[in-house]
Amino acid sequence: MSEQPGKSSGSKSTKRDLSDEGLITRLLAGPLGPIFVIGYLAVVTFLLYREPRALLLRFLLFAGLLLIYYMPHKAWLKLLLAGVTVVAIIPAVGLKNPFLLEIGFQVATFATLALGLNIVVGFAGLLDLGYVAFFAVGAYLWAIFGSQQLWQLHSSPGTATVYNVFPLGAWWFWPFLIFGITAAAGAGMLLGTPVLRLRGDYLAIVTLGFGEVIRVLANNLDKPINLTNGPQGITPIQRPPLPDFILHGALPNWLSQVSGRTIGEGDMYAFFFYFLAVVWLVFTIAFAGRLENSRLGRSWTAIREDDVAAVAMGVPLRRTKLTAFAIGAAFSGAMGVIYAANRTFVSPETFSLTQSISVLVMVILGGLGSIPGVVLGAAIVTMLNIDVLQTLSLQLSSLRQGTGMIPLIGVPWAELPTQLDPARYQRLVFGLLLIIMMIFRPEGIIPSRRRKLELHEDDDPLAPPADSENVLITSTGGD
Amino acid sequence: MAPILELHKITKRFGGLVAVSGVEISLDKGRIASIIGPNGAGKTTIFNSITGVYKPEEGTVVFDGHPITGMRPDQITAMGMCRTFQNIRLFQNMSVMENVMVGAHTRTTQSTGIGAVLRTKAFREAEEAVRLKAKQLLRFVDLPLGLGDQLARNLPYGQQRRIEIARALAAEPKLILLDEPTAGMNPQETEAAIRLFRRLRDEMGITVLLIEHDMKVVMGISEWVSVIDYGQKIAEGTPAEVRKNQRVIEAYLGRHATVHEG
Repeated sequence: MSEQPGKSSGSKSTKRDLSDEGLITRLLAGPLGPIFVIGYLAVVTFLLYREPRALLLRFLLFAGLLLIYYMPHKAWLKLLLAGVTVVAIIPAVGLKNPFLLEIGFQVATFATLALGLNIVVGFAGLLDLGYVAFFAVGAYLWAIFGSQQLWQLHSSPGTATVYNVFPLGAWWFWPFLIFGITAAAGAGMLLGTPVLRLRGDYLAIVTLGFGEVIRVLANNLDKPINLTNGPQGITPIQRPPLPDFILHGALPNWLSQVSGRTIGEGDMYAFFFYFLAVVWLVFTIAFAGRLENSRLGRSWTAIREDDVAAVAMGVPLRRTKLTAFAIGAAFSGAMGVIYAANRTFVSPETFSLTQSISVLVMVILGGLGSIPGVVLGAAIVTMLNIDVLQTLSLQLSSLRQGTGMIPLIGVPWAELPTQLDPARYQRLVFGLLLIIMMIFRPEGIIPSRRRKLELHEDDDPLAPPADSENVLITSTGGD
Repeated sequence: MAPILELHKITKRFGGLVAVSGVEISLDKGRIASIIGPNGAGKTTIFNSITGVYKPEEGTVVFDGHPITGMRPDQITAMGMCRTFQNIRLFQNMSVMENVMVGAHTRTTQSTGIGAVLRTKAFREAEEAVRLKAKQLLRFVDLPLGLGDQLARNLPYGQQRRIEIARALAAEPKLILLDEPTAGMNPQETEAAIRLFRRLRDEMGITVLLIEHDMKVVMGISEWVSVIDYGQKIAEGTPAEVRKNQRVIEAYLGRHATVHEG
């Protein structure tokens, strides 16, 4: 309580930072921190450029972003380093190994979804188990209008179209980003309205049902009107048009020369989608972060903490909950449009309950309500999913083809049953991860720290020098 | 003086149980008044019926000349009535400042999230104004300085009570309802709390309606007392009148009890 007047606020804040952030921050403090981080990134980039397929190096590159996050330095420096990593290093290495761009794209996609879900679950405290439905709404919106599906409305699924042209030009992708946001927000309200009165378990079950309804609709709306093409899914879906100089001109030629690999249209689209997803992710982070620290964000938290008290303070329950559902859904709606265009294919399988759960896992793993945590959670889960486990499986299968023996037990690799493929144990690994997290760090990897409001001790009316003693005396008497 | 709050024949039932039955209360502007009664008499039910948490089956509530029966709690708060709770209901995992800032919800004008996202000048000014107001209110309730960024749950009980009052004040109420605000306080704390309630009226011009258990508090501060027992109003008047009322003595202390002056 007793603030020493002579103490400078600067030393206080650094002290607070150190005690809050722990070991990594302490190691990175001082002028050597940025030098170390830059050196680290340079070494990893160099090695990765020489060995583009090394799993560990890929992992270390993404871990570099985490290091930057933990640096106790000025925000602009961190933003600069992170920007260079995302805008320059990852694409540069992606020239050598386009898989890195795919990882980047998927991490950005799922991080956006996780951030959207985080608004509903983390900020407003409304457990939503059917979140992927909003992603599906966006994806199917562009899939239906951005493919030749509209010609097929009256034919049975699987019939080849008789037309060569698409009903809408590819440039419609851009307006459909907006439509995707709107449609998903609308679906969010649609889900939100009937569940306004529900809490906890009941809410979770209704949202779970909603998610399944959307998936089942996608699966079955091939009759009587063939809107979704049923379980076969819709393909091809148009990608947004890119100017010719990007696709064929000097740029890909130059990139081919630099990388020593032919850079074609597909690669340029990989770059494009990577950047598009990152831009949308950055937008989402900014949006969510700023909303969190606003009247609306405080209302969400208030409702999560105690809805009776929140209403008594004048927070309209209905509207506040609906905005949470709508805004949370909107992010993933736009991402759905981007995802459909990137894959040029959508099918109901992508939007299963397990997908909803894995987005929830990202949120919980990273830290419920914490924006950096949620992004990290999304990165970890996605990389485990599409990179680590797959790579291990590949390596295992190459061992299996050799003549080597398994150490210790002396059985040939070839006899190892295929059931032991790591890629088959995705869900098991996530389950274990969650259990471990719940036991040892239930608040998530980067827990949400209820923002410390900047109380400038100097201009704080709570602490006017003349009255301070007086207030202190009252307080000791009063409490 | 014109009444700021009138209850006309309020009846609230829970299934077969009649919690409040035909209660009439009229509260003049600028008064400090109390509703007292034994445990389970229906005091908090009356509060909840006034603030819109419950909708009374019969009767009307008129606040500041407008009938408010059936309105939602947040609408009623927006009209200028705010409350505290019997068991403190702060937003535990929000900072003290944020708690008070939520209280100002109906008095800030950033209606959409757009301003917040764009960090417009209007947004920043509104935000700064709310923050300043919150600081002033925390000071008004004599919260020790520098606690603004603490989580509400980390503070001792007496301070939480004060924060709850500051939060209610942030809604700029004309009428504040305090539900057993001194429950669980020691004599010194109660003393300080009573001083604070007086200042609400004297310095801010807010009408105060208390539910209270502690006779010392009631008699010390109230200018008008309504006594509730078994959901019905059994007496009202000045503290001096009420304490002499035989029905009140029976209800409160049991039959054959007498109260000594003091």
